[in-house]
Amino acid sequence: MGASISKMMAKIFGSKEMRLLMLGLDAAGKTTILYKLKLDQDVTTIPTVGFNVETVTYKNTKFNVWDVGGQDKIRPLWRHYFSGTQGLIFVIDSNDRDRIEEARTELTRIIQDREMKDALLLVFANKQDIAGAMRPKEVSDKLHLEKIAKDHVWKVEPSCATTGEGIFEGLAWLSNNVKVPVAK
Amino acid sequence: MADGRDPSPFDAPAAHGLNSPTPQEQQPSSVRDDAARLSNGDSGIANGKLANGLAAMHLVANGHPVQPTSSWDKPLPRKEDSGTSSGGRMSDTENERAPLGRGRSNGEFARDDGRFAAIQNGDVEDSCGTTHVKLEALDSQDGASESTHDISRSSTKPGPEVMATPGNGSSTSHPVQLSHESNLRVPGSAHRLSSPPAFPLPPTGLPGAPTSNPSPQHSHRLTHRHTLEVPKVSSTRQSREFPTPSGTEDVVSATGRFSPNTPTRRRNSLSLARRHTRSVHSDMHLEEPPQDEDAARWADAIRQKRASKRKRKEDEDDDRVVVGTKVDQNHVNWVTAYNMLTGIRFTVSRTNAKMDRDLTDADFTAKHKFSFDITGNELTPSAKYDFKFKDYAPWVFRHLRSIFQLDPADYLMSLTSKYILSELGSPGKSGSFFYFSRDYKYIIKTIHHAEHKFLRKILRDYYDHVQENPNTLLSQFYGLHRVKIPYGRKIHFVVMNNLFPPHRDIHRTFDLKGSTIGRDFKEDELEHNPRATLKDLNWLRRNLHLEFGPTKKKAFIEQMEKDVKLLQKLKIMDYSLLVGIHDLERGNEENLRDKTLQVFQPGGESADDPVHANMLMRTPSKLETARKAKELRQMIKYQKPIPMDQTTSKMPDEMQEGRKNFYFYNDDGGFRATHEDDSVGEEIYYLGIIDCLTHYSFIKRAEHFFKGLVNTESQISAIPPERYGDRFVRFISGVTKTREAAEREKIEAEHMVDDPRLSGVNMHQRDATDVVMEKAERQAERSRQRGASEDNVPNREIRTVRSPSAERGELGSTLPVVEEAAESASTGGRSGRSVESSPLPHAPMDERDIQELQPLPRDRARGDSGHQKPPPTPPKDPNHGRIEERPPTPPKDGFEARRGPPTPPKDERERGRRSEKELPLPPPMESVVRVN
Repeated sequence: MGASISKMMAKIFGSKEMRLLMLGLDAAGKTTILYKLKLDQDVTTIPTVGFNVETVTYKNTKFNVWDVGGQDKIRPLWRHYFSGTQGLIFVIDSNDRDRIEEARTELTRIIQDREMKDALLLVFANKQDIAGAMRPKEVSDKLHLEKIAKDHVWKVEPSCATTGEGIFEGLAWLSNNVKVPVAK
Repeated sequence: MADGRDPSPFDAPAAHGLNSPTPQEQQPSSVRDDAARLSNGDSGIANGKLANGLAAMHLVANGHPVQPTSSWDKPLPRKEDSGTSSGGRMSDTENERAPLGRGRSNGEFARDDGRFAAIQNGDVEDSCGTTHVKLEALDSQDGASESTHDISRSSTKPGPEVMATPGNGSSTSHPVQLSHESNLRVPGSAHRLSSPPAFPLPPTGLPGAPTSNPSPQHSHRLTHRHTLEVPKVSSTRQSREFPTPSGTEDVVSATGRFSPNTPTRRRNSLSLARRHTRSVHSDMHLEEPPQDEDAARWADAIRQKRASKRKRKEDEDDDRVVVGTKVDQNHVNWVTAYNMLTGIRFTVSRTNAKMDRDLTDADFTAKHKFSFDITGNELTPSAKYDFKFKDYAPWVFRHLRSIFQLDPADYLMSLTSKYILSELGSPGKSGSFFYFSRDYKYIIKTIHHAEHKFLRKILRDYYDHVQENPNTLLSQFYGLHRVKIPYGRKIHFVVMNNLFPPHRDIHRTFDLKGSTIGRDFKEDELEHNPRATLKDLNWLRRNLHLEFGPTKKKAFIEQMEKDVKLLQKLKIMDYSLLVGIHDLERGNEENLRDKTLQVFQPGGESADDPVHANMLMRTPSKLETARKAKELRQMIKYQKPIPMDQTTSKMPDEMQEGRKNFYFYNDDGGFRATHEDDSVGEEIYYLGIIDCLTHYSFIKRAEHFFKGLVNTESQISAIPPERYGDRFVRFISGVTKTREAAEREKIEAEHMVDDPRLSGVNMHQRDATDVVMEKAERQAERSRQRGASEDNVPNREIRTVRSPSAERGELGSTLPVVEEAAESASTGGRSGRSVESSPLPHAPMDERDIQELQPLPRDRARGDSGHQKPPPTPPKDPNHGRIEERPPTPPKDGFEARRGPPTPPKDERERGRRSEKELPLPPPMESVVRVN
């Protein structure tokens, strides 16, 4: 019955929608990823003070992606975007080993927030095109994902924002794992 | 172990009616894996799902092609799989403590998968039909969908609702048994229940629980009955103001966890289940009190715990507020403040994230409207309350902020990072409402619709001016917005700079306009309200000057002239120069900010609201204003003032960064006095031209007309912008001179002939005093015309001793010696102000008289502030101040004065006098408030 209902819903609305929040330390590549998704272009970006939001439709899912600036000064503002988020995309600069700890701290803080407890967690191990980048496994280890994200469905996806590699795969994963709202 | 365990994780979810969970559940999980490209296990590491190894196996079984899509997938060692999985198994095997390990999450996920797959069937099918962006993705997707199809067909298609009720007859028993066999299942659900926030809470509230469960986490798992907690959890969650609307919750609830929305029906089923459980496992828990009580108690305990935790966190978070009342969640104005800040944060963030660009004409007229609600939409994040927000000329203001050298991040943070603002309770002159940002840097001021329109109209001129004169003394506008709550009114507001520094005591505040009529603050009220903003006459009486040496004076006057020129051009008037004086000799020792900057709120009932009383006398726009002010007042009616020193927050003593690059705000955030030789003086002035949004409109014309009937036209404040500006400049220039100069003049004056006429002539040569004196004379004359009563005259004999405030003699009484000795600053002008009392019957003061007094002024002024402080500051101050603020002068008069049909001449005169004051008395905070 649930299936039939959701089928119906799907027919009526044609697609599902998903609200994604993209966070990460500054210069991790969030904005680049966003515009790669949106425009399929490698755009020049400036440090984001504030946020960019774009809606991308992919595989019949409408992704409403919020890219919020990651400068440490404005990280406290992140929490204002938590509510209603179905998926968190946390972007890591895979070459920035020095700050992986910092990233872990931030990530921990985010996913332990009450508002985020149901969100899927997709970690982009970004900048894989640079030699010596941390592998997804290393990233997940260093982030202690198994520990800090034990209450979440998560995945580490290697990516390269400039070429777009891995990005759509990540979205696909989110799309396939998102819990569809039950018909009212 | 993995094998033995496998079924169990699925069973729990299976409770929703899938009798043969294994095949169905497993498949979905594999499906998901496929889609996620986890299948091969190398590219990504998914939530430890790989751990159980099941996923992989199934994948293979399904025959899904494993397609590493990206180059870096391949190099990854498959080891990961085994490693993780072994880990998972380990934890599983031991797992009485299941909640800790991956094993637990595995179970969960697996279950989820099953459910989702079932639910999503429709979607997946659809997706099959659509074109896919990427080939490889397509593959995997197909595979996934196929498998899902299978599932859906084979499965009994449990609807979400069905699944959501774990209490279904037979199915209920399943979980229970399973849980006993292998704890894993229950743990899963328990874990859900107690997801993060709930976890840390020890189940101490439960009599039975603690005994059986060493740790809270286990408690859920071990005793199946903890499902009982569900209601508690749900209730806690309900208590939270902001339940996540995400659809996912419903699904989750299927696992047995209660979403806040869970209808009671579900609960019933749950309780059924519970009873069932009990009977099956009857253990010590049987004796427990009925679930509801139990639940309630738990909920309470949890709530308390959370509350305390929250509080602690807040404390740590230094939610301190520098001045005023914290507008926090318990504040009646919370919603308005919240909406304002949410809106500001959103709009500023939105604009600032983009690449900078040049302004276009359209930018000046641009306005964007956003609506916020609890769910958020594609454009706006979710907000706690529904409201609409309008952002005006975002790009222009962005540029303005950058001209004023505000760091966007700082701006965002200090204004909106937390929803706390200090609020200054008294609606200002125009019914405006002020909020300070937490760090005291910014002011949010509500403005009238007309002002907002006007600001938008002059925005380009303002912008051009600011661009050419970054050192402008004019108010710095950082943003113009409007907020509207459903069925509510529209509130326009601006964000601007706070002239006064958080780190310096302001010992005296003046609001100077260059007019003398009504420009007096009753000095005897100073006792009660030592921080009041004083006005022109008080300034003159104290014989104060803006003590700038040649260099600074030149810069200051030039800038002021430029600024005023703009204001004249824009037909603006009624602005004033706000001057805050920090006496370096006194420094921050008195801690005035902490002691006296308590929040002032108009407390009490609206009954005595002066605005209300005079509503009918007002023009429509005034009516509007009055209504607004009244509403605002009512909103904050219950707010108690909190003296700064009673709160944990203290003002900083050090200058924080910012504002350093502007000429007039360069000395510790202000403009320091200098001597003749440009060496630094003893005072720092914090000054700026404020209230610059009053257009010389019909209203002002009317005011001018009426006042003109009674007063010398040039001396009232409502005169045409040209003259207003000229007078303003003349006045301010007149009082801008170094201490040395002032003294010299005084001496010169002493040598002058006594003949008043002569002195008058001389005055023309000295333009500085000129203005001042002229004004004073006029004022005196006026009061004479008024037939000022002689009540106070008796004191006249003391004349010789007259204080510097003698000047004010024209309006006030002469000072009794005693008072002088006592140094109560207030002795002065009070009578002038107060009703009909009166001033010198004599002709304008002789130059000489005044000069005589000159020596005193300075000392006196100093003395004044010094003395005043002690009396007012006493602890009771807050209340005191509060009370004083409104009643002192009959409020009615004040308001009436504003404008009204000409009534008896007497009244009119009164009116003229008071015209400048809307509120009978500025609130104690006024000094701060009036920043603009």
